[in-house]
Amino acid sequence: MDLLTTAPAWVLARATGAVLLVLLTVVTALGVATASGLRAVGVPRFAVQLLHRDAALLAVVLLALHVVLVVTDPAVDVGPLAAVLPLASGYAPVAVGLGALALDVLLAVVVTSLLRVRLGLRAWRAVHLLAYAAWPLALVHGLAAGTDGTAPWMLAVDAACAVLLTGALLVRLRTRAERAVTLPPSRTAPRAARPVASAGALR
Amino acid sequence: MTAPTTARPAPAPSTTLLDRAAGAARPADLREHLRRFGPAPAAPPGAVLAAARAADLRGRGGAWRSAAAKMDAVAASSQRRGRAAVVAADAAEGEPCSAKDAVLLRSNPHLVLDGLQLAGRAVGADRLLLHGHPGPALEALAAAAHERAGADPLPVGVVAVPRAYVAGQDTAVARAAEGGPALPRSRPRDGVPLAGGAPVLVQNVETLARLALAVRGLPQPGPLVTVTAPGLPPTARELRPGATVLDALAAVDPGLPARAGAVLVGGYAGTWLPASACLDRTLSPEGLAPVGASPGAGVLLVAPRGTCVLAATATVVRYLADSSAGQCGPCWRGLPRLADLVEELASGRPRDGGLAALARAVGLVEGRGACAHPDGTARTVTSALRAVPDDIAAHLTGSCVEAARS
Amino acid sequence: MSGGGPGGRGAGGGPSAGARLHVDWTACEGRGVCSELLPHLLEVDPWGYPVPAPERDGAPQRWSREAGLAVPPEDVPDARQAVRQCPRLALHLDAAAARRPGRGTGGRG
Repeated sequence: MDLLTTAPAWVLARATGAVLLVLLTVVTALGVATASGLRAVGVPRFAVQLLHRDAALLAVVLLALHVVLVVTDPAVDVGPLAAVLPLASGYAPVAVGLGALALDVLLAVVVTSLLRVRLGLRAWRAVHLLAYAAWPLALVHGLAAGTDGTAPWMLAVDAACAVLLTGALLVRLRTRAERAVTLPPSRTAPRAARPVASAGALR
Repeated sequence: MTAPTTARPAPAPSTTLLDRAAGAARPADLREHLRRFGPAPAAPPGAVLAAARAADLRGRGGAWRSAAAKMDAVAASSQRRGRAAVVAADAAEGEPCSAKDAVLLRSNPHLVLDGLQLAGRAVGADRLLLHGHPGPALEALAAAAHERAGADPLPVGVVAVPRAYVAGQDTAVARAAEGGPALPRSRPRDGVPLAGGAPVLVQNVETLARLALAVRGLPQPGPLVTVTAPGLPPTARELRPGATVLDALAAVDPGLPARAGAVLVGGYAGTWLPASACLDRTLSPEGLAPVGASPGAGVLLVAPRGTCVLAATATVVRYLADSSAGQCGPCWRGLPRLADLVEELASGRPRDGGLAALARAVGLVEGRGACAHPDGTARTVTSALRAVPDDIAAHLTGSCVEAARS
Repeated sequence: MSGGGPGGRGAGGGPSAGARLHVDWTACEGRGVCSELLPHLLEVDPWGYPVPAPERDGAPQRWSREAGLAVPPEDVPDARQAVRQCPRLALHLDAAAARRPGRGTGGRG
């Protein structure tokens, strides 16, 4: 372990990265819990929703710290632009680029969520579904760009997060299947009532 | 109070709107229409609105809203949004037992089209639509529109949708006009439905025909009704102004008023009334409001003495439940449950809780949905319970008064 | 597309003014977040959809399609949160005055 010889800032950057992956997994799990309408004793649905939101905002703060630490580190050539633009980094451009992509996605998700009421459900949801992409991007970014990427402890953390995420996805898919049966039919299949012929109708 | 069982002497039938019965060879063509009524006056928008107001023209699709008020609202919406309006002639006639629009469209499609053009002018529309189901009625209307396409100022298009009960609701018409499904949706704040951002004026074809008469300064004919009963297919009639329910029944079958036990006034989502309570009421909102009913689309469903009103109601409620657009949970869930309970009561095997369970089921659907479909269903059930209380009591114990009587 | 949906319009008037809560039934899926946030105002029907809680004297309340549901002033902040948190954005809040004048019952006229 080279901790004692590496600059503290770089250590912190790696640490925040690792914590971020765990946090992202937790945020996704809470998101699934929200969308699936899950609740626990003493934790009503609106509280689960707020937890999801607060954890996501915490992740954003931590992500900002992670980016600042990496960008300001003189030992690696990662400029500020590289934080949002893939392939703009001097150091490990592809690996860092994946992180930039993850950041872009998260930024879009957070901004659209803050403006959800104004945007409307369809637009908000289209962007929010992209959030699922952030996790694999972050995972590969960590494996490839991080100094501890392939260290045994990091791989263990990765594996644990992957297990949790897979579980969350399975729960989500099951809730969707259940709900499809209980939802009013015309919302999912209004085709039957579409015009059979129209001339001069409006688009 | 015993109901009068003989109709007043029937005057010569009015021949303004439904002058050609179902047996006519072909509908009046444009030339014949012009000979009878002359060309539609080139009235400015203000004159059209004034004529509608003077004639107290109200919507004949079932809601009886003031046509002038609707046109005002659409014009205002058009101004506010900076978009030209659209006018849709609603020929869907979704009410299952209604035949008046179909007969009107075969007799006088050109009056309807006159009214459509006039309404278009009144609201500053830039296009007009014919909305209905594929079939002879819409075809007759479309053919008539084709006949005069060169002469009419505003272009007329056709939107044909699959037959469905809710397809004639105004937001559903607007939605179909923009290429969507003919299903109701939430109304904008000002109440005027939109199609692709343009305000839409939806008027029943009978209303438009009446508008065409009003602008010409011609007197308004009496109500158009459809009467149906067991063994009597829906039969449309035009009555004299001020006609009563009794007049309507007698116009179709002189012996019907005497045999009537109860009447479902307004059609499937209407109000059940004992014959004694409604035979002498005028077929108008003012005439029927005091007894808690409305003419609706002019449908009178007669349950003769010896017919079980609850059984008829069960059929009606099941139809209405099956007709739910399936968009709003309380309607899509609540109406089938209501239908189950009514069917059980009608068959004399109500579940525990009887009327209380039924009342709860009614409360769970009333007002809970984007459109008034569940409200109408609730109204039919509640009025049935009120119209034949003795029979309800009998059904709760497993017997039926009407079945015993017949 | 028309819709009663997203508006983000807060209740008008000062902090002491009530408001009216409207629901877009075509969007509502009975997820139940609103009834959690407004337990005195809303209950849940057998299928999960919100139903107004009975009045203090037990009389049933109706959620008016045109005028919405009355929200007392002390519940307005929670109502605003319910509007923001509804998973389907099916709710919105109006100032205390009725939403629009003279609407008919279903517009098939």
